[in-house]
Amino acid sequence: MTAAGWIFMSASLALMWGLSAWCFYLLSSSPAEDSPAGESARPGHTSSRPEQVEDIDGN
Amino acid sequence: MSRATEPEAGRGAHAREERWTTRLGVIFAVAGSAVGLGNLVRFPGQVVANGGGAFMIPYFCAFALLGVPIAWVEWTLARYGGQQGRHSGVSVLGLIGGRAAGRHFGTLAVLIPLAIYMYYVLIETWCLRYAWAYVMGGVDLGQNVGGRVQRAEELFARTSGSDANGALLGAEAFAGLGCWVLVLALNLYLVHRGLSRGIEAFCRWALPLMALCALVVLARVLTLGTPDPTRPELSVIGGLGYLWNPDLSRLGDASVWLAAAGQIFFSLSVGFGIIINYASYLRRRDDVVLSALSACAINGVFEVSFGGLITVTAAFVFLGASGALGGTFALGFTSLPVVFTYLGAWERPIGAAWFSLLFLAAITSSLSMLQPAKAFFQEALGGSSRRAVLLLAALAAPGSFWVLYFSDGLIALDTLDFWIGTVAIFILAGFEVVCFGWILGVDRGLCEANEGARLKIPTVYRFIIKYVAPVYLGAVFIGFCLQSLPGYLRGLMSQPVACATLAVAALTFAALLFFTRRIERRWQAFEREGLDPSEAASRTSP
Repeated sequence: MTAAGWIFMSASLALMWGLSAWCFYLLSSSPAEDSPAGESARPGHTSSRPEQVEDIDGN
Repeated sequence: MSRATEPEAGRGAHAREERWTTRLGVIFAVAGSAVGLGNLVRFPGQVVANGGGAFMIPYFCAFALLGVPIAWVEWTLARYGGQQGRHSGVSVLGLIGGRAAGRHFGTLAVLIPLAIYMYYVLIETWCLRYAWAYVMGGVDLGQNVGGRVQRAEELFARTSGSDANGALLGAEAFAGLGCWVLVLALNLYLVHRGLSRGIEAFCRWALPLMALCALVVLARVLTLGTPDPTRPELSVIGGLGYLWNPDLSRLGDASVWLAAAGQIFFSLSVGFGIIINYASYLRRRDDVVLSALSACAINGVFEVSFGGLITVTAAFVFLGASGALGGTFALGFTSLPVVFTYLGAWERPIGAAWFSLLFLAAITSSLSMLQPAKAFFQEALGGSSRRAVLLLAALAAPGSFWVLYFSDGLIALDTLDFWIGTVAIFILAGFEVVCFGWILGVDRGLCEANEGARLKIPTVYRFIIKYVAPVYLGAVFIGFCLQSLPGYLRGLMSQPVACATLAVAALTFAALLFFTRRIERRWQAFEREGLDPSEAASRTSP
């Protein structure tokens, strides 16, 4: 493996891992999520419960 | 069970919105959808064939100029549609792209994942059968070193049924057909469970498990050293060099840039009609910019770290340069089982870990292919999950059985992969970019994207999304058509099975269009009643 090969491989790995780490840092340091169960996207929305709730037909 | 009429079903239903439970859940689901064979096996083949490490320059250009912006476009359009209670590609794209165009391109956004699913579930079945074989005692490729490659090819032909049409209904019926039914049923069950209890719950443990399996295989591959001292050139470092040593002269070759753009495009699953559905379940204040970028980054980690270090390196160490080349299936299902036979006691655990990784990657992808069609049928039928899944099964199972039956030379599979899994996604992605940049308006689109975003989209992307991405996409598509289309057209004309497979896809599209009209009528009825979008949403949502 040539020096250029090492450089390209290391730079590629560093870029992807760095981007992922940065994204996860931003995700983990951003404000906590609202509780989905109590949150409504906007007035008129019936509910935003996380689980899928069946309709009245039981479907 | 009450038999409400269609509008009543909407009004009377305790319609509830499906939502992702956590931010990480949706990111894992989208990343799981994107991570697949393309990352782990196709990517290293592309690197080797296109200048080694030098390939990463056009690769990262395509990542920044094509992959990430189109992902932002899809996430934003989807959340925008989702706020109006629209979750299928038809209604999201119809909302922005106009009724007629939205209808057809939106139907394409349902057809693409559904048609890809028809063959992808078979690949998933192969992965499961290989993983099971390794768990239960390993794959017997014989003691004769020279004959192992041939036996591995025979094993793949038996597993995939590529020797003859209907092969999987003969001697292999129990394993072939049985596994197919099992995997199909598992997929439909998980999709029926809904977003958070099915797809999200599965992806939240599947993705870390995939990373663990990949790390186990990677650790073993990187510690192989030089297995045959008489051939010192066949070493791990030699394998890495074979993959990564850059050939900078290739950067002047347009086909390398084309290949890099194609790899990014297929790898990130943009234009597949999946994100346009997945992200529609986000809430107004959810951060689409960071979520989309995170999903792209996770996909990149799997591709560059695991795809870029495992397959070609392992194949090179034992089989040399000739064994490290080959198509996706040849490398993944033929070369690597041969490589594993050289690992002694490690053969079974590494083989099981590798094919479990492929199986998990395939199942997270296949789930994502069913959800858009499920949402589509729910909108058409008024919200019933069970009926939507039954209808989904009624379309997906016969289509997939067609591919399973016409397995000779994998012609049916290849036909769907090219015309739907390649050509159609370019068309859909192009329409989405035009919708965002030119119909919705790039400024309004960026405002929409930045809503709730901790990380704002850099202003340079205003230009990139409006001009660079469509031109780049168009150039890649034209180049791709010039390179591959003539050969495929010739193949299509000479192979009746390929023509018939395209007819199956066309019939599926026609069936979907029928339901598209139902969706349109429902939305028109709501508009006539003067309902605001939120009220309409509560009547059409599942």
